[in-house]
Amino acid sequence: MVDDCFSPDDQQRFENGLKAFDKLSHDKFGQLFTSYTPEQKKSLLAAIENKKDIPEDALAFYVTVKRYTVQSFTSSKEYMTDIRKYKMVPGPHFKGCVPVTNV
Amino acid sequence: MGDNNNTFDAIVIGSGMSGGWVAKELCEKGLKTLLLERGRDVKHIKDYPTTSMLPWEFKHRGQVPYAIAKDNPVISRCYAFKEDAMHFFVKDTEHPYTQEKPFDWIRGYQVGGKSIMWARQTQRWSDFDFEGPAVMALP
Repeated sequence: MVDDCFSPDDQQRFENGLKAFDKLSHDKFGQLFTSYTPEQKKSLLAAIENKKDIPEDALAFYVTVKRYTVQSFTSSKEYMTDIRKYKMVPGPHFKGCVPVTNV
Repeated sequence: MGDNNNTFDAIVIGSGMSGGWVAKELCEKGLKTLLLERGRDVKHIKDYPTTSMLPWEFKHRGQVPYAIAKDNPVISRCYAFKEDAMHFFVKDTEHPYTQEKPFDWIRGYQVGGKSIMWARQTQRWSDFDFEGPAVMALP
């Protein structure tokens, strides 16, 4: 998505954000986020969600990654078939005219 | 002047939502009707490459890649210009036009015109919708 759908400016912002995020995670627990223990991950993510002393670049990176993670998950085959029960043609079961007394 | 083969009761220009229906109505009333369409034919199955695709099969989940959006600022402002229907739109560079005032000219050159690219939502209108203007109009 970043490669194909972002403008060069946004790609640069994303890259800067990635670096800022790496620096933030290193400053916090002395290593990169990917090497964190689950507890450390939770702690940093909570701090970011609360926007406590988080550099703007790192926050923007986090928001972008979170947005695409949620979008990717909720539009995946697994989510749309197992959880949302995706129906390609939902029409036949749609009742457009229901007496108010039945609502 | 023309011979009988080239003489028509009605000539409809464009086979889109309006032209298509006009031609149908005229034909059904028995008029010898010529329907002109500048675009290509759209054959069932073969010319609908995305219709049977499931949402997760689109590489960018519907989003138009940046390079295409950048080259087509006008049609990119149309809600329906997405990964699933973008091949039916006239690209900005294919048929440029002069805009003296802002005007987004969204076009689809094919049999069916822009009826191919709509969002498939229709309102069921009641009598009120059709009588509204007459009832509400100032004397």
